[in-house]
Amino acid sequence: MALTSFWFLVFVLGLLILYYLVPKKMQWWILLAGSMVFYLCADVRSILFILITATSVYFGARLMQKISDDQKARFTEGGLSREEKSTLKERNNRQRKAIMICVLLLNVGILCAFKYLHFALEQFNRVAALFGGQGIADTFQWVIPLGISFYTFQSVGYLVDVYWKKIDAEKNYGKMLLFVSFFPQITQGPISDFAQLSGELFGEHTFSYHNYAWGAQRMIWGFAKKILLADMLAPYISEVFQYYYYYTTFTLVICGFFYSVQIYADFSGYMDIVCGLCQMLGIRLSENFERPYFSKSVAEYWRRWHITLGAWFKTYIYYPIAVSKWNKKLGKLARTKISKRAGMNLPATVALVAVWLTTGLWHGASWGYIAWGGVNGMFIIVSLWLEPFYETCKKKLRINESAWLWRAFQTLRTFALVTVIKVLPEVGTLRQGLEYWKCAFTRPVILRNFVDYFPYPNLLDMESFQKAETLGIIAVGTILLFVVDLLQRKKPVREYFNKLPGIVRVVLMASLIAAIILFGNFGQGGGFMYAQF
Amino acid sequence: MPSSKQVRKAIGMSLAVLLCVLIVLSGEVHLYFTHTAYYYQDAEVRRSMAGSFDTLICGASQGYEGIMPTVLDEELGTSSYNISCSMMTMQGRYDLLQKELSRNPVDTVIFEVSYNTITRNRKEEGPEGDIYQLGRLDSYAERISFFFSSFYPSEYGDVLLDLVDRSKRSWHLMKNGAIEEPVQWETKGYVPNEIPTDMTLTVEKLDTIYHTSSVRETPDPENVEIFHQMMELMQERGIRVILVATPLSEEFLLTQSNLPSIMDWYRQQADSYGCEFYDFNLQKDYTSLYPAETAFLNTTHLVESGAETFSRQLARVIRMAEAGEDVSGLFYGSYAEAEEHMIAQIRGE
Repeated sequence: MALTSFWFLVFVLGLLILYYLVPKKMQWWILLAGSMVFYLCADVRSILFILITATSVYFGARLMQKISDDQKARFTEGGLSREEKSTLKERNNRQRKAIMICVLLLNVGILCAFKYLHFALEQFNRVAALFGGQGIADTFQWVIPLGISFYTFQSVGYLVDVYWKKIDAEKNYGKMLLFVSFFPQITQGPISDFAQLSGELFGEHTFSYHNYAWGAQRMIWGFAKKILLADMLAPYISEVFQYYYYYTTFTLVICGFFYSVQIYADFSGYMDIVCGLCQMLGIRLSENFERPYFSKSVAEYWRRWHITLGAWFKTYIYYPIAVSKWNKKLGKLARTKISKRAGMNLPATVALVAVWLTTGLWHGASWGYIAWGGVNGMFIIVSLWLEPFYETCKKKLRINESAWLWRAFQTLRTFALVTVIKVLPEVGTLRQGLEYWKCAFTRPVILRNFVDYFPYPNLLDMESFQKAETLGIIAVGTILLFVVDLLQRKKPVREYFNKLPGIVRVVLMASLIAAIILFGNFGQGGGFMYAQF
Repeated sequence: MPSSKQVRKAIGMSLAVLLCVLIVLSGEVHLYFTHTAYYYQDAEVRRSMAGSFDTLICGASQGYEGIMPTVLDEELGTSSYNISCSMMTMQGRYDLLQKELSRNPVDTVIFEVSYNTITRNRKEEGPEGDIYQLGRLDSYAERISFFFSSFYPSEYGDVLLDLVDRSKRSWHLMKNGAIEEPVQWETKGYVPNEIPTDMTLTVEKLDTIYHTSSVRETPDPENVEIFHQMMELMQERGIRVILVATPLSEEFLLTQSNLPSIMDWYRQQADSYGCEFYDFNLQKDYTSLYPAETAFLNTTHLVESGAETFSRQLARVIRMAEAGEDVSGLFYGSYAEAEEHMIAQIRGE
């Protein structure tokens, strides 16, 4: 059931009505039933895997919790010597660790099998061919379960939080299943932690007009971004990425810009739809975007783009590596042998390399994505090491960091950098991605005619009103996307909107819905882009 | 604020927004139904001429582009109209036939049947034919009834969006004063294709394509049921029914290996209902009457020149049959015999 389909809207309406009709204690049951229906409509065969994840994580966490609780009870009972307590603690920690590792291996193993087996076999076969050996047949096909990347990460986070004793294990299997399979976030996140989401999911919610209205407004805005802008750009982006070798510098650079617009409109549009829906249910989901294209550095960009994924990697990969004993030893060694700065930066660098390579892999099983992750990481690491040099340069050049010109330069520079990196894995292979930019910067700048530098498929065959409509929507949509983001610096745009008279709000909302229906490019976008991850 | 007031406010605002949306969309969609931006929109023509037709041509695209009412009128002295349309479903044919029978003194129906008339599956084919039909109906009552009776629920969203798209085009044409009068005023339902495609079959191509394909053979049960309903309706009204298979290109005829079994089905139905059936793919002099270079738009449709020839041939056969003459001499006895002559011509024997 696509989020932009008519039947999804019918489903949401039915869910909303049931949700507020049932006793508040049963509201989470409705969410669970709705999630199961949603998943079954999307992908019947894969429900087995989501049940495996939910069940293994549930029992794994409960077992670890039991060991902790038994230990606590034993210590409270008394009668144990210090050594006995220490031995018991050590044994229990080993057991808990073993349980965690087993469950992690199972679930990450399933994820890796589905997402990376073909890639791994391809590399193995390449190496085997180098040595004249015979590779392994790689002809099997399987359908990747819907949302496996997202729900696996979310479940792994929960399991590790229980292991770290940040939270207690959930006793109710149904609630665990709901946490894993909650349908608004299953296809593209946000990746939530149990502590935050459980309060929202399992709490009791009373219908509130404010939540309903604001949620609906946000959903409609999300549909507009997805259907009117992202899907409208999709055929053009696809055309240029597929045939980049035909096009000139101007075309390739403009397409890069619009690709950034497309992916942002698509992903943030999805987030608006699911966050809006959840707000209507009285549930607050974590935000995934905070005006990312107004960032002033690549590091800042990644704190504002796909925020929950970044937070997950920071919590479960970066910090464990950064504060690990061996990494701390490495830092000490660097401090004594190289410099104080190196002692600080080296452990962070090691952790960042791990984070960015895994981030790249998470996005896709290809060298293109690994390189994408590597390049992003490289920019952040280089900035980290060169920070003193930048400060010196800024002082010497007397750059006023609060001047709007400097901030504009930083913003545009960051936007250009992330756009260049973003395009790399999307064109095809890594080589094709590099070739794309090579073509963009080495081809002559030829301005022939409009269709040459904006080769929207079938533009010439369109009737004049269709041409005007298509180009107009792209122009207006792009401008609105950035303007709304700019306005949201101070407060949500809905706060401005909700101060308008009721009749004006009704007309504006109706106009936006009518515009989506009248001008939307239904079916062209091919689903949400981040659902592929 | 108490909860029930909040709920009422939410419902009220939602309904207000929906109402505004419906007003905008209805206005837009109304333009589509009341203007003739698309070639198949002939509701106004049929309505204006209602009461004058004694002969109807009922078919899908082969009938639409193959049978010229003006030629039949000239040859037979009839007052005919072609109610066929592209991809017209059996249900669509039945609904429109019923409507036109109710407002015209019809005594003859020429029912175009083709290789896929009775075998096509509506669910597999999709809603295109019914979308055209929707644009040919007269009133909102008919349209709403047709919408819910002919489209599957899974198609509702796509059909409504398609209507919106068509409405936009209508609006833009109307705005620019570019809406043309339907050709059907002059052609009486027939829609001409002027530019032929050369469908000449060489010996080499013949050898590669001969009987290498087959069309679906099993009649679709839903289509069969509607066919019988139509035949019974026409029988009840004492209407002369003439089942007609329009000429298909040589390439198509020689590629498909199982056309005879489908045409046999129509022949059986014609026998059982006591009506006429003429398969013009078996017509003698087929090759000279419908030259491959100039008579066809593609493998299965005639262009204007081919349609004129065919319409005259059809009129000739109808006239002869009316006069009690034996028309069997104008046709080969079987596809095997017809193919033998076609192949001999191609090989220059």
